[in-house]
Amino acid sequence: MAPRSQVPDPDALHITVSVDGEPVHRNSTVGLIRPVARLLAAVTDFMTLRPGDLLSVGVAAGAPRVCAGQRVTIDIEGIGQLDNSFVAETLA
Amino acid sequence: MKHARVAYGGAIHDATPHPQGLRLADGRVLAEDEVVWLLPFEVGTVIALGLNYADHLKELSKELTVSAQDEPLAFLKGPGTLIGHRGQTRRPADASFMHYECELALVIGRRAKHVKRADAMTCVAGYTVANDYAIRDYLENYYRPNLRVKNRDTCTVLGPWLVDATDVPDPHALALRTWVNGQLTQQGNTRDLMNDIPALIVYLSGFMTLDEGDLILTGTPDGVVNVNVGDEVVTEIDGIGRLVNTVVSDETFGR
Repeated sequence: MAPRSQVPDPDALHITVSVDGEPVHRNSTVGLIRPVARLLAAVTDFMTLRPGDLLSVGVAAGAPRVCAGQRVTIDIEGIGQLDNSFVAETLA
Repeated sequence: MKHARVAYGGAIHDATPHPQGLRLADGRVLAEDEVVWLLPFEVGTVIALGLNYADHLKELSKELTVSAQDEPLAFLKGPGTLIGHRGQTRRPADASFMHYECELALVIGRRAKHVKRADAMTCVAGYTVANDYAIRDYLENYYRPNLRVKNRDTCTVLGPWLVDATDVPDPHALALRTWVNGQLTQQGNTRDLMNDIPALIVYLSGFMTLDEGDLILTGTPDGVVNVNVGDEVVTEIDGIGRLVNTVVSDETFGR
């Protein structure tokens, strides 16, 4: 978790999504229809947010598709790099 | 058995029904209005069903493309929306159509994944009554109700009792009723659920793990009407409980 003090502008972050190490999708929070402050104001108008609650700001068009066996890396400038692998779901 | 949790005399107590109101675990007998009613158990994930009664679906059919053959329409609610029996629900001043929804709420009793229909009822710990308010002014999409409609602070009322599943021999034959200021406005029966309780557990556990304390709100029948500030709304299900709630204004919340 990157502290707020280290993220001067959450509405200007570059995002790169890679599949198996290959960059396949680039995006930026500059494109948010509702920037972070506006989103917080809208949501807290009718529900109470508490420490630890998470507000996901949305995804841009063209999100890549992945298959079982692939590894996805999401890199947000100044926030971190999140790795995640996919396996096939097997029915019990 | 029926179980409640209440605050009284500076402490939190387990309670059971008593002819005069309720009986605390330490033996004290109190009237219903002497205590603060808390949620009757530690609530986990809250799953709500939309459009799960044929008559409610028919009522809305001009606006919908969904049919009884489609898979269940379910969405999640966060913890901040829940309040207990005899609580106050805030009605925003700009709303023109805010309505109650009397619903049978089932409580999951054990971890469950990929449950078969024959085993589904063994996952149920018990039942309670929910009044799941909606503000239709804010509704943009019946299939994915937004948080502003369905996750407002104070807009999901729950209780008063958690009733053990063993005390509810047939949860698919329970009459539901809602009164607004003493006038009967909604009547239904859980026999008319389009997706019955085993079907909901099979469906949900097919893609998500259900856990002890998770709550499934099974939907509401026809007969929802607007409520106003000051109204007392009573939602009741035979054998499960009678849940009282009062609608209050933005001013009550300092707005």
